[in-house]
Amino acid sequence: MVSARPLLLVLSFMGIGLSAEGLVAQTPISGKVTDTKGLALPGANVFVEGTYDGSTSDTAGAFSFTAYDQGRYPLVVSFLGYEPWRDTVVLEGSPLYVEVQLKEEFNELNAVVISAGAFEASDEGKSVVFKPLDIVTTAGAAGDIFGALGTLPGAQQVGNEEGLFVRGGAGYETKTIIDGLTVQNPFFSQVPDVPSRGRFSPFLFKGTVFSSGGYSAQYGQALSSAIVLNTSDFPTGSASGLSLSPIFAGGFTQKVWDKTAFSIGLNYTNVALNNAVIPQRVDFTKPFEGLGGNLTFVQKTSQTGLFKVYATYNYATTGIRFPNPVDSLPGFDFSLDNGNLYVNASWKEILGENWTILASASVSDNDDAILIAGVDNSRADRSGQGRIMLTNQLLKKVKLRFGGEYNYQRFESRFGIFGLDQSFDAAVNEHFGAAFLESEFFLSKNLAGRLGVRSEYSKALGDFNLAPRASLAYKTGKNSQINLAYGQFYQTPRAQFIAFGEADLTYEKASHYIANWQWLTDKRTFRIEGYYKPYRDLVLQSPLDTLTGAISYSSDGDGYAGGVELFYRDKTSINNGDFWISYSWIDTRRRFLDYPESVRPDFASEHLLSLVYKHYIPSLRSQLGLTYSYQSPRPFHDPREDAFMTGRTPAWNNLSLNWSYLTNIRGHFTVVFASVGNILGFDQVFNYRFFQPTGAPVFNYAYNLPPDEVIEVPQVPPARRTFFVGMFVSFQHADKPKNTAPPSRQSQPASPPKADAP
Amino acid sequence: MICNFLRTLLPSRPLLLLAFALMGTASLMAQDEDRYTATMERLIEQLNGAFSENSTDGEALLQAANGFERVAKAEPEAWLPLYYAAYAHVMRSFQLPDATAVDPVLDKADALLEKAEAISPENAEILVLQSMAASARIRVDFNRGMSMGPKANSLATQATKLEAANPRGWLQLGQQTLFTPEQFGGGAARGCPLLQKAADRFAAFEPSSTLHPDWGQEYNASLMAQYCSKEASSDDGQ
Repeated sequence: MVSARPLLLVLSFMGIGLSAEGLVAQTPISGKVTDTKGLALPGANVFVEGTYDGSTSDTAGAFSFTAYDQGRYPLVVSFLGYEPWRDTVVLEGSPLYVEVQLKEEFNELNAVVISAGAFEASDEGKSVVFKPLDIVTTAGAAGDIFGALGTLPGAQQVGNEEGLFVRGGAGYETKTIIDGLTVQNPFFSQVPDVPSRGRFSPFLFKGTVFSSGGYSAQYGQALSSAIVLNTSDFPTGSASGLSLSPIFAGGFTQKVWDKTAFSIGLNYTNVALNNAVIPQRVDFTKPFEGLGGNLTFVQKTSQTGLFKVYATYNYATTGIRFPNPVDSLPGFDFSLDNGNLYVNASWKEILGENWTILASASVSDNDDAILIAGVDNSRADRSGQGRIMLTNQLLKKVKLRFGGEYNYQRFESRFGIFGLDQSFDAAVNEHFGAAFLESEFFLSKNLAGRLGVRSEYSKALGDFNLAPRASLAYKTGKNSQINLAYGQFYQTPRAQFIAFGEADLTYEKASHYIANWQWLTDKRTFRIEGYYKPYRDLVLQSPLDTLTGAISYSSDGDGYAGGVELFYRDKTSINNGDFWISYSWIDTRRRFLDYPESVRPDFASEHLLSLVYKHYIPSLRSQLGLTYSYQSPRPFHDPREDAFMTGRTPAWNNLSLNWSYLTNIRGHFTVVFASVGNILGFDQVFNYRFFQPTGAPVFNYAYNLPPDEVIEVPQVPPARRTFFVGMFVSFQHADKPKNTAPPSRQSQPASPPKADAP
Repeated sequence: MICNFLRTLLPSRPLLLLAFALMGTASLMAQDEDRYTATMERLIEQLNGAFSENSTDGEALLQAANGFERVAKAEPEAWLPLYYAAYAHVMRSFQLPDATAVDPVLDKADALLEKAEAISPENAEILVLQSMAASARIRVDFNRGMSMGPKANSLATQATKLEAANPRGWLQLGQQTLFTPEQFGGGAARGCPLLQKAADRFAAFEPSSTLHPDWGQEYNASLMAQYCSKEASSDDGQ
């Protein structure tokens, strides 16, 4: 176990000596270690390589020691975070003095991070503002990923429309991406006036990136925003869990073997009890009822390879009767039966030294059986996707990514005609392909860039596009940086427009110009970001041809959005407290869909404010959460006015509270959870519907109607306040802590030895 | 103070350097062996002393770690220099006032342990340090408790299974359990029996040589005194 040593050295130690020189060959070595700016580096390891001789630099960067060997040896200076220095020295007894300048080592830990337009939630990434648990513990989000992201700058949730509305973009301009693949139906199917939730549990994911613009060339088909979700890797241990509440029952069990992990979960939701106890302003003929199941399978295919499958099926049914504004007339019924299947499989592996592959595929099948006043308006969409991405890290400072994807979609829709026992079907088959190439590079530790290009082909449009993307990040100080981003973004018009045929449509387009400055420490973050986003070629509906009853679509719409956003998060100023504040100002106008002129769209508030506060109370083992959100009045078209979209809803205010209590039941980790939405009972109005005195709806965008010929019906949330109570129990199979669900601060297994220990 | 506390982790050892100087008749290889042993013993002594140095960012421990790393570089077949270097880095990580500086130090420790493991696979002592490094990372961000807690636990469990008579496996499993909140399967009620197992094994433990790990007995006793007496049996292990 001991390497051969120079004979002279050993002999000199033994005091035998072959020659007089051998005996006196002790070389004093001294010197100084500094960084490139000349500042002393204490703690550097200075040594004659291959021998035991060496020393550590002191607080002045100085070192001195004696080398007992003789001959030519490498002198090495190494220090954590710096590139090692080495030089050959001749040890022959005469004292050596060396001054060494160490260069800071380049690694991604100390380098600048590209972050224009993006907020990331993960455990490991650096410059991370959010943790996965932040999503779960945000009051008002009720464990919904999109609800939590809605508290970030630039994002707006509009209760009566599906999706996350980002920077003046409509909900459909935000795409959800799981393991590289776009999710066709990330939300539960929308029921009029009932806010819809995301389908996916936040616990499925190890990391979330919310991009409000300027995102990577890896992704496309989203004009405004990409929500990139990455599923968890190999689980830590076998476990089971049970969730119970008056409206929900669910359970899962997870078994982990050496190389394989498998889990199965089932859940059932029925809000009948909730609707019976809490007064509802909507007449639910069938309270929401849903049954779902999911499977996960994870296999280690090698030391570094991982194959993952996630499959879920959910069936849900609900029915609503909308009252007729004319009391004597019957209301009309809306019912929705939804079946949704989603399967996602991915494989990642390290190929050799510098290559990584991520291959993924998904299948999605969504059926909405919709009856509106007895008329069939069902729709279905199916899709199959495949994607391969290769990443190459040939050089330390340059990463190259490229790949391609293919997507097949089929969209079917049935349009029933009121008053006639007649309907017609439309269907679109879309084959879509994309290829992308992207490079991330560091010009220095303080300057990083990302250049990418993406090209897509849509068979339905019969057209290619080419989208360049660029980002730049420059570190201006230890904790501050500026970011710039530019990108071109394309999105194929939604299938229902293509389904109408006579499609002379082209891609909808948006350009993003983004600049931000951020200041980030591990306890506090401040960010200010400005952007400008012009839109071109939005789908525009022609006015109704009153003779033929036909409408047509063109790509003649356009618009813009611009704004400034502020974000501040502070985990340290309040003891046991943690809060963030988001503010957004948006200036936007667009002419699209059936808009006769360019106006601020009905989903875009000028001012958005969110305040999220979390407080941990150790003595009660509880975490309290509070979220206040404000949205300034949104436009709506009032047919009594003489101009388009001049009505304004009242401002939207909401204060939500939640409380989670951590305990154990017979030794099983348990969370008891309670929340109240809109606890102060603010009047909340999504929008208005207008009816004629006959009970028939007012045709869209009528003007100057006499007030007494118009009946105004506000669209409001089903209940003024929402309530939820529930509990989650975790059963560990092995004697190890389970990695489920505890809110942040409580999860501190194993602190280091306490400072006040003896 | 933390340093006083850390000092208890290493038993004191006699200085053996003089003995080395007196040797002169053994073979050359044996001379090298002796020099290795003597250097290691001196460094272990230095490491010992480093726990009592009252430095703000663990300079004394860094010096000790540097010494062990020099020996490790010169003796590529030996796992003990790597082990002690990693040990010094892990213990130093607890002394760093700035939590953001902790990860690079533990990355270094983990890299050294990986090398040690390649030389000496299935080594309970190495598993114990790997477990301690995982625990130490939780300090950077308590959210990591969910991933690093189970990891530390499983590594320590592996150590106890591999070498049931090794007290440090039980000590690490015991303290990991002790400092895990009760709701997550930790707490004094679960941790103290494990520390008791460690105490029983410390009483009987004999290191294979003067260079092999032989630390933790006093620390184990101090943990038990603080958390496992009858009055302290309620969970205040936060």
